[in-house]
Amino acid sequence: MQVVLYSILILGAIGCIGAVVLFFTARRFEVKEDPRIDQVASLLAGANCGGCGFSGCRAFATEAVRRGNLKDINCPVSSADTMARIALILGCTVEVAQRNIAVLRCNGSCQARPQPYAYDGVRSCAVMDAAGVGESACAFGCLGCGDCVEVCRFGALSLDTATGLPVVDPDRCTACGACIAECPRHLLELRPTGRNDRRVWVACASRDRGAVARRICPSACIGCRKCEKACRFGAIDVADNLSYITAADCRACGACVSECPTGAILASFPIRNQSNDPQHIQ
Amino acid sequence: MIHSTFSKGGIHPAACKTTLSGIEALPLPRRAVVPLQQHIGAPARPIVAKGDSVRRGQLIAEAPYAMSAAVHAPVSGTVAALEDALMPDGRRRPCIVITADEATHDADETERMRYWLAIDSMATPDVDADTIKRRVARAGIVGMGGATFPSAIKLAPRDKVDLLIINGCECEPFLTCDDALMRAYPAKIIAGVQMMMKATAIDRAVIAIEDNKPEAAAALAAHAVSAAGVEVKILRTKYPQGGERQLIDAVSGRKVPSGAIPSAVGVIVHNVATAFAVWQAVSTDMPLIERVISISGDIPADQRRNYRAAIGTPFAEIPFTLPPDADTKIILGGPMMGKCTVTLDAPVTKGTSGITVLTDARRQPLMPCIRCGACVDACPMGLEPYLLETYGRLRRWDDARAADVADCIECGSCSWSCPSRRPLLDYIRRAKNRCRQR
Amino acid sequence: MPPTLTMDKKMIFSPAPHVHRRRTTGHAMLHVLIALVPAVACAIFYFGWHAAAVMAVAVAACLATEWLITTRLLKQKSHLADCSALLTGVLLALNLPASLPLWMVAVGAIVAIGIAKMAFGGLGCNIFNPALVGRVFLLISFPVAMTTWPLPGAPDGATGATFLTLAKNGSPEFAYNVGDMLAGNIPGSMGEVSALALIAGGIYLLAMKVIRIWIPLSIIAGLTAVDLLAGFPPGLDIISGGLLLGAIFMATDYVTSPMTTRAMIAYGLAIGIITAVIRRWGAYPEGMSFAILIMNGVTPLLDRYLRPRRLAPKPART
Repeated sequence: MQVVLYSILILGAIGCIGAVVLFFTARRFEVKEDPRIDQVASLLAGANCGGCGFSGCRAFATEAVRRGNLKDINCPVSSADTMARIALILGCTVEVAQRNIAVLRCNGSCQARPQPYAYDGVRSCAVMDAAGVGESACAFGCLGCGDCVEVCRFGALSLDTATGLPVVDPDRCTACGACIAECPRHLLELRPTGRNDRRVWVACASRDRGAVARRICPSACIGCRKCEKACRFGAIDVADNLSYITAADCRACGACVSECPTGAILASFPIRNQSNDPQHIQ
Repeated sequence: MIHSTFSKGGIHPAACKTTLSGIEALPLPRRAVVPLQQHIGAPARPIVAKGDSVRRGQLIAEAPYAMSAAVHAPVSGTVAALEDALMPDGRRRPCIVITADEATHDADETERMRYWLAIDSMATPDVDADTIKRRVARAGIVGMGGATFPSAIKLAPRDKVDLLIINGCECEPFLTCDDALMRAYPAKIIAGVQMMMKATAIDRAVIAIEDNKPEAAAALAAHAVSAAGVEVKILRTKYPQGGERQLIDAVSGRKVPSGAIPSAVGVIVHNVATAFAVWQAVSTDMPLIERVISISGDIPADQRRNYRAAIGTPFAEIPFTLPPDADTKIILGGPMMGKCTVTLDAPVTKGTSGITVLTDARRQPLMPCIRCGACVDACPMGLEPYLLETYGRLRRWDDARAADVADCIECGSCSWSCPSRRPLLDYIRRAKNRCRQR
Repeated sequence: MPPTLTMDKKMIFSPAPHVHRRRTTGHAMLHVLIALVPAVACAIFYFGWHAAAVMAVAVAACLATEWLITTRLLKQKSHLADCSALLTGVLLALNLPASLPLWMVAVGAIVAIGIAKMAFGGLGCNIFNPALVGRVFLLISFPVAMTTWPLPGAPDGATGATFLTLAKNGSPEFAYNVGDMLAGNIPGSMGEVSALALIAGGIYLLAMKVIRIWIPLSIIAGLTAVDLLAGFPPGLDIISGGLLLGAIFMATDYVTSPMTTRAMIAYGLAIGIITAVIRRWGAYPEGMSFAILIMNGVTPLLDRYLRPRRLAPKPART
């Protein structure tokens, strides 16, 4: 009985002393922090994707509170609503930033692109790109190993087993830019979602001469300039055998899409009179 | 006698050096595809246009940039095109395509035969250092061991250097092109080494040869006796003995610091084939338009040979039979560091040391790492490949950088030695490339 | 000679290197099993059919546990072919007294594979040597059965004390003669009795380059150092108990031992010292299993702080 009593007393005493020490230590070393940082951080997604340019969500919150406004800094992941609430906490206003979304600049699916070479190594685009041209003969197109899928923290990318290409889920893509940094061939591009979710882009990055590009991949951009002529807004430029649509000038009319002889221009909405394979329409 | 070697790691892959001795001339191609970039640095700038007729050995692309190398016509004929042509990795790169007609082709072959028959009796002129450097630059010579660093730049080091090492190790399995060259032209190689010494004002040169090439070593040693300051050093046969840092360590005990070049410790390393090319350029004014290549691997034994091939010769014109009914890999260079070629339309370039054909070279199924430490033992740079592999696989680039991934020389010893068949170098290379980009 | 190249097959390309040495993980395990043959033979020679039964049960239970967990629980393909479970079974058996009831052997095997190996993630992921975890589990669960040592070649079930127990209790000098201790004609765990058989296995492993000499050597060095301080004859200490079995076969287990030479030496010295301290001053007469398990836990730290020396020195900061 005595043993039990002593044990309780001694342990209790140690506990009390410890509590007192902890109390004073905590007081002594307390870090004063703006409570708004916690409030802002709790509104952010917490994925620490780095899309804002800071090391994580908390770093973004700290910087936002330090500045006291949201000029020049933006969380691409957060919705306009969330950004407005953050602005409310900071006591400033926020301009609604144009929402971006990643698009793939390649449509050389397994069916379209012959694959004359067999790769035998780690299934990683970066490794395959360093070893050679890839399983198809295209030195610019998607390698299909899914490095971008692996780095997406929002589950917005998936590898389509039928086409062998990654597919962007527009609802989940937060434009954080992780996939863009990962792709060894720089095939993913952030483009504005466009009005009413209408956007048009050239789904090819091949700078091979037209004849060569066409032999390698039937759905490659061959630099024929038909789209450039078809565009009434001057949004399309062809350089290095490759067409590019400047998003800011594009009105998403879809004229170029129906004009493209190889179906290399994709649109996020259905196009009438399109001569090409309807499967390209997402 | 136990020969010296480098101080860390190393492996002993099966040598498989079974090519026939001697160097045979491969017929000049009727259509030569000459890439503008056969070296590290900026591509050469073409100075010919489509339709021009060119002579064999004529300058067709100059090197106006600090880091570049001139390119010469390997055959006489007409410039058929300046276009992007297929390279071994399947990509397209700017090339000058030259087609030869019957008459120019025959004349070239005669001239070429005469040159190689007379080479033993050709004299070595006594020229000054500047002339040597100028002629080396004009001949478009690059490091012929595979690194293809422009040689003229290496002959004008900014640091104080006191030791020239000539790499005759040829530690890659299968390859014998340097061995064949050392046996065939020992006197010319020594003369080339002396020219390099003169150009860099170094009074000591060491020709390093692995102990599995006794004939080559003996031939060079016999000629080195009369050359002041040139010695032949025999090293243990161990891969990667011919790695630049390993070679410097083995020969002189000096350790090149991380991120530095050999001249930081007063050393310059050149390949034996480069020394020979230097002699050719200085003594006979012959630009680098031919080189020795080894054809070896799983092909019939009588086809494993060393050829003197013109730069720009498509691989398809080299006589060898691919084994039927097998997964076949065609490797440029040796099996440890060589890159696969996916096309036989690609041409021989200044850095092509040979072609190795491998069957059954498919990767084996991999197993979990059992922490056996074989990779740590094998790494000639003293790194921890198992750790770097994990970092590369998990995309922990910062951790990889902190673990000195940048020091990796990509020799492949770790992947070779792993009993679990893990693709160590694949992931390490990924981490290294990523760390270099940022 | 015309170029004859048929290109109807796909060209294969892959990153270098394109050749590989022949040895696989399975080969390494097989070499260890071969190296254990003399010790196994000695065990059966001295302790008879019951030794064989213990070994069979240990191996069977290890294989069955691994197979059940991989195929039934984790729904993976069975990888018994890598021989690692087989090896764990044999090593566990060699660490047990030959007279141990067979159901206890099975319990030890299930703990070894199920808890020490598979619960940590399977081959390559375990922190502690599975066979030793099994043995120590049995030792603290069934202390009497685990320290009842049958006399070699005694069919009537006579038992005796090990050299180390005798040493702990008093004068060891005249207990067993050195010849018997080398040959294995003494009581003890069935695999540890014959020093010569274990050394033969060790020489085989060294010759086949399966293990490196650093760990066994530094274990012996650490033990000798403490023995000299304590005034105990180190020679007898080395050939008694589980020291050689542990130093050659258990401490050198790839998964749970360090990978760099410097770390191996530190690890070995520490095992030797801890073993000797337990033997001389601890409550147990034998401490090899505990020493190895303790150092298994420290292994990741050793690998982290005793890194290999780089060939390329860091440039001096300016």
